[in-house]
Amino acid sequence: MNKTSGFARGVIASCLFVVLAAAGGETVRAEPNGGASCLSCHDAAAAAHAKGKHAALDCAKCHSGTEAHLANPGPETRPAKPDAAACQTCHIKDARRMNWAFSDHGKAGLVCAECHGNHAPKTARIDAAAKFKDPASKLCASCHKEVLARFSMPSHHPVKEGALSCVSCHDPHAGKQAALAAKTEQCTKCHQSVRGPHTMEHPPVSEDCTICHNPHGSPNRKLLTAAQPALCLQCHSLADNRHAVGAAANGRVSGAVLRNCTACHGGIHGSAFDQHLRY
Amino acid sequence: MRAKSLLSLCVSLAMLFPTIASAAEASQKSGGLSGTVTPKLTMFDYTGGGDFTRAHFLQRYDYQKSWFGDNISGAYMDLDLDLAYSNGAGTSLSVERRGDGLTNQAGLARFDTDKVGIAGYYNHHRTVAVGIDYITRPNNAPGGTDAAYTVAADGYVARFNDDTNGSFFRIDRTNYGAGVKLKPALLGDMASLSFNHDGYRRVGNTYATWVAGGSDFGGTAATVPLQRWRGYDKPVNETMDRGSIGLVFSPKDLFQLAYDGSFEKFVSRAENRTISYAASMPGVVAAGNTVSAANGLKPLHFIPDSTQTSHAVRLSKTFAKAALAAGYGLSVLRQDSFTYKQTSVYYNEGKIASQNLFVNGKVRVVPSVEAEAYLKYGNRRNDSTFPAVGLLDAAVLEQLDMRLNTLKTVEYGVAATLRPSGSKSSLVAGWKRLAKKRGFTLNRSAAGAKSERMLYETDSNTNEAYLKGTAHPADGVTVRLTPSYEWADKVGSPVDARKAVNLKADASYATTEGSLLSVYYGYKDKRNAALDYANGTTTAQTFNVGQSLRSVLHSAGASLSAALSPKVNSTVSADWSQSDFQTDYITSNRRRYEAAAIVFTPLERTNTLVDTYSVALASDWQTTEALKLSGGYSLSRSKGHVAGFSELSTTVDGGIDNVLHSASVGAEYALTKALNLGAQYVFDHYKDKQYAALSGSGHTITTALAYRF
Repeated sequence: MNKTSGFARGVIASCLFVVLAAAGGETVRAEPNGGASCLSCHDAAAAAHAKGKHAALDCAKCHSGTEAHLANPGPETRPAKPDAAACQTCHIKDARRMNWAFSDHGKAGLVCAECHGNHAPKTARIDAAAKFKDPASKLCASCHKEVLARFSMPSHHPVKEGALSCVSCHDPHAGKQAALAAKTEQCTKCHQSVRGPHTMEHPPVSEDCTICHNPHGSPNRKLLTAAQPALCLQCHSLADNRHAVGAAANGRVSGAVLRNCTACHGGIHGSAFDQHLRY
Repeated sequence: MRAKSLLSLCVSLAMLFPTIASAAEASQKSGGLSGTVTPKLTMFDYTGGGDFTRAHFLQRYDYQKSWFGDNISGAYMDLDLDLAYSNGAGTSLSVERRGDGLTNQAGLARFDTDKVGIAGYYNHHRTVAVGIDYITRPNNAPGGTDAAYTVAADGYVARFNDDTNGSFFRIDRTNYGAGVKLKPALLGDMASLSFNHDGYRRVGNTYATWVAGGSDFGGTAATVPLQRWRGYDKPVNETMDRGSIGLVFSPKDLFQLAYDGSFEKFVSRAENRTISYAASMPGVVAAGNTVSAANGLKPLHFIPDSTQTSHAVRLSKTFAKAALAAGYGLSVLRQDSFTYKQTSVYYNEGKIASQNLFVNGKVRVVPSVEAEAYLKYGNRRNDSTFPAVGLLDAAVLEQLDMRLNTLKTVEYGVAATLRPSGSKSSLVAGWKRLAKKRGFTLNRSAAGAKSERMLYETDSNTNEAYLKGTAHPADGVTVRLTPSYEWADKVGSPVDARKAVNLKADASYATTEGSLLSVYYGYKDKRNAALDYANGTTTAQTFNVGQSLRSVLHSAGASLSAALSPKVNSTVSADWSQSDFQTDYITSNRRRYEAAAIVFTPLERTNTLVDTYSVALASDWQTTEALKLSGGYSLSRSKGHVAGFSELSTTVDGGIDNVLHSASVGAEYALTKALNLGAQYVFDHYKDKQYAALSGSGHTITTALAYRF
């Protein structure tokens, strides 16, 4: 990290904070439902609401049926929690959310409130919270248990450790059907060093990184879907005249050759010069 | 670095506290300032775990570094921040920071009004991801080299030359970014506009291995093969900067039209090594071997600078009973730097262009039934220089094996969803088809790489039929079931599924008190025996040797979170997964592009079977109003064999057998209403029976003083 800029960032952020806090001045409080007070009963929700991004919004903007509830307060007239359509009346003007109708989460019938707190950011349950450092990943892990388990495998993307988040790779508001990038670009937006362009390409690298790697976690090194050499042998035969003892046809191929194909073919993602991807 | 970071934190704190003191007086219900400031002191000590000064198992992902420069034991201070300010009218500012020392920290600041949003972030993380590769390098692992290899063509296997000179491998990655969003309220409620800059810097070094060609080294012929297999310290110094703009236009909410554009520049500033470095290695000099000037210019693991420009346009329209969405994207990746070996033969353009298009539509046929159809199209085109005589030429042996010129994919499908009105239960039935068309050039020299000698073909056509069911049979109970079946009309690659059965099932029960029980099971069984190698001469096929793959994955787990009493919250989870992967191990008497007859021989069937288990327990107990105790334990174990070859039984790589235990205890004591003192002790123990040198333990004690307001 650039030392000077790191220091400068800290000071600038602090200054900005002070200025904005001082400039906050008189606060304006949202009057729910045209002046009728929801707050007289919903004290805790009101406190959280006032601190959130929706603080300026009237309760009825998101909760339908507030009039009936105010006229006759009680659980039977409780206003509805906002569904995805209610949230989208505002949030559809966002490129990441405009295809919600075709997203995997949307098609599964999820509503926004299952991940987002309407009044304040939602926090995850204790079991997931114990395993991830960033809040977004904690929320994802509370449902996607199978994926959560893969992050406990010996080789995993450092999500638990806080180096990245589930949403670094996955857009929870969209889906594969509405993706406008090649499959490999999802990985190479962070791993540019392997994207080339290479003079000598390795076709699965051009097609789909997940042919060889499981990005969530694997018992095999380097997130490989299967260990070497089995992973490589599914597509490649081994030429005896380069891999067998004495270069003899049907000769013995040593464990030294079989144990780690990439120890020799170190340019496995592509090479600028070598057709055999050795460097 | 340490001093400046510490000073930065102190200045930040000094400036924040007066603000906190005044702003915290604001009414909680009308916004104001709230948050937590948590200075922390962490002490750590590792024992064992690989080479003491280089790669440490615990440092692989969660590297810790002492203020005193030691990565084995020491202490450091850090600060967590979670600050939020709101004026109660929709203007908010939040500042978050998580710090686990100089090598693992992240921060985020976000300012929002109803008209504008501004955000910035950074994340800094150190990894030592090549630790196992370095420790088990061929000259350091039993069976890593084999003296039986003695002839010119294969003698490189007899010796591995480590040129790293005891380097310390690690990579620091710092991600950063900032963005401004102009919200619809500022743009007539018709549009939003955003500008973002994202980037990273990646600095350090890694371990890279390579094998020289048979004629790359000259001099004493008897020792040439012994110089060919090498490993070296590869420097890493990369930056990426991406500027992007996003516009969404939605006049009177009639439709949404969005444009996203980005310009991304990747630069590798690290020294680009060539084979010539090896000429000065003591072993090479002593043996009288040399590297010629021409061969010495061959690049090692060259990473080109590159630029990627992307444009995407999306359109969506929602009707009362229907929705439509379409989009088109184009991205062009260009190579900006070249090696001498490329430019000297006029290879001066590296260019990959990708186009993607989608059209989605859904309509509510009757109140409880929705029908959906979609189409996706993708085209990846390699527009790089081709041919480049002397480097990449289909007419010359060993200059081109196969070049993937284009990859076109068409995916389409239909689905129907039954969701009875008033019910959260649903059933989706669907079918989709994926067709891939590969355009490639094979070597066309006298011998050439014949397509029948490889398991890669032009067409893949796969179908999948699926069901997705969600039911809520009782209050708090959710059951999901997703079976699917895949079949291929044509497979173009061994990794395609000729047939596959997939099942995902999960169920959960949530009580009104907040307890949650959930279970899941997943099953994938993929088979492909549709591809084969053709034996015989270059033209005459005599008999085929088929490749047969089977991959079976099981995963299952259960978890329970419950409040055992009003003061005790506990959670327990257990997960298991099994990977069973089988493929044929096939050899050939020669390389596929050689002129003479080739004979493929199926030798063995690989047998890869690995189980992974994990168990986690955690509990917290509010013993008194002021004191909360917590504890946890987790275990993750992987065990199995990864090939089943007899030859691999003589090396350390035939199996996986490791276990990681992690236990923690902690206490949090409320000194005052606003001030909490916390302490946590974590013990990690990693045992690796296969790679014994990696086994080791770690102790970490963290104390924290949290000030809440």
